[in-house]
Amino acid sequence: MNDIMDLNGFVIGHIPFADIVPYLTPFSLALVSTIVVFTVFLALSNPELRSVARFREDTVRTVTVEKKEARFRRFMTILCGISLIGVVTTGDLFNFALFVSLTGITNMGIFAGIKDSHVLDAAFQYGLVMMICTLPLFGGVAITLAKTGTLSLGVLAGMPSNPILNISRTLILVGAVGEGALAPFFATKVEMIRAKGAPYINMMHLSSLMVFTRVIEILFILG
Amino acid sequence: MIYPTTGSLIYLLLEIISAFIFGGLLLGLHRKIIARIQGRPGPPIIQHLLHTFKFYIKELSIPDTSSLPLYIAIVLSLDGVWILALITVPILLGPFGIVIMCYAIHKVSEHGIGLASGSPYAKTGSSRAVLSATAEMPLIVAPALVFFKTHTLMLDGIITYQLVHGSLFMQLPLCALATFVLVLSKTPYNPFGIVWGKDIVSGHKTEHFGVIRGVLMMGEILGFFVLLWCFLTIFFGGIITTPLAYILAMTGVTVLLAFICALSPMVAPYHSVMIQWMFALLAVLNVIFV
Repeated sequence: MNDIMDLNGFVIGHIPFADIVPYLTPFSLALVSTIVVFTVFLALSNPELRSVARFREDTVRTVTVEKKEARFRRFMTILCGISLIGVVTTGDLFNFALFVSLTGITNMGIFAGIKDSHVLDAAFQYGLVMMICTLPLFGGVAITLAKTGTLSLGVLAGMPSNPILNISRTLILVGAVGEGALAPFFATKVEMIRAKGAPYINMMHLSSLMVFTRVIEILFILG
Repeated sequence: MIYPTTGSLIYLLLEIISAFIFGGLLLGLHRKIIARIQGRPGPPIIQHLLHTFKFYIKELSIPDTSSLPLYIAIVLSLDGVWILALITVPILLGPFGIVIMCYAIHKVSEHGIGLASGSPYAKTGSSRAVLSATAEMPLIVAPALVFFKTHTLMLDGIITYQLVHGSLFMQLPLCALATFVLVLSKTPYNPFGIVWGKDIVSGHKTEHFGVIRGVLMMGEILGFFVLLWCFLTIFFGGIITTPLAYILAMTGVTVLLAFICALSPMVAPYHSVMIQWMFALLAVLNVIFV
């Protein structure tokens, strides 16, 4: 397996909590600061007034997010930001899977308050994919634990790779891709982002790509 | 990785300014070549920089329908991430993963810029930004292959490997091709530029004028410079070692990009995704051949 320092640079700091060791490197620090900055200004932003034009109609109407709906979706956006910080800083594979699942759940929450049927349909399909992908995600983590006896990324980084771990890596990749609505499961996401409420929708896109960035790092550490 | 000290902060600032000026001149050259191929005289090479500065003295207009402060903050974040990438990778030779992150955030920013104004054209551009994010498979394939070859993603480690074993371009040619397509997809007027296609006015940028348009253009210039620098360093790090060599190589690649952009039509959104996936699969094939 590969040393964390070869991937991310020197370890700036870590919390030695049994074998669960959250750590900060220049790479994870960049991810954390980006997530914090985005979460703050997305939570502070008001929803846009969306202009909607229809063919064969000579009118342009505007739609916006109701206050009650906006409050709930803002809360989910903040929660998504917090779980993303967990995703990028955790040094434990099980916690990583847990935070990725939480990110998926909060993404669902961001869209759950919308009343448009096509958005809710897409969110429902995303929920199905998410639930199905929980199995490979946690299955991959379980296989890693069964094979190596640890889930600490710091310890795993010092162990030699083997075919069983390659299977667990593949399962973790499939799980994270489904939870984060990445390709090839992106179709529902493209439908969902047609909804109103720019700041909240933007958080979903951010969470997908942050999960993507972190999962690449974890696959390299395991490989 | 080189660590910055207090004394080198001015040096960092000068590096950022010079990257901005050189990146702007490269994009100016890009426009000039495209114009000459199309039989037009074209703007002077300095025009892209002048165009950027011009927006800084224009009045800032914010639509009533926009989402504030997202409308402004998202543009600033685009600049912020590329400055971060510029400092961490070309200047400090740090982890390449940060460029992957910045590329991803660039997509998020494009999406946010389009959403924030409330305009249907900008919204279509932002939907395409989400769709085109799925085409960035070379972003995972290229670093993976480079990592398997060099056992590091730290830029100084990759350069050292190439000085000993020769350029990665000779060892991973298909991977280099996939990364070149990635750089191409961030070049103005490129065949995969569905996000800012003229069929949707200016896509996600339709409602951004004045100072924030200038800031947006500055972010794009820095992004172009960083991507070009990373491409050359990762695949030609054994050959290109001096600043003069970088200037010449960047100019050469920009000329090549301009020819491709001028002679290729813009493809449909789904074709754009499919073509970029094909190049990523070609890069995977590289594992078999090497």
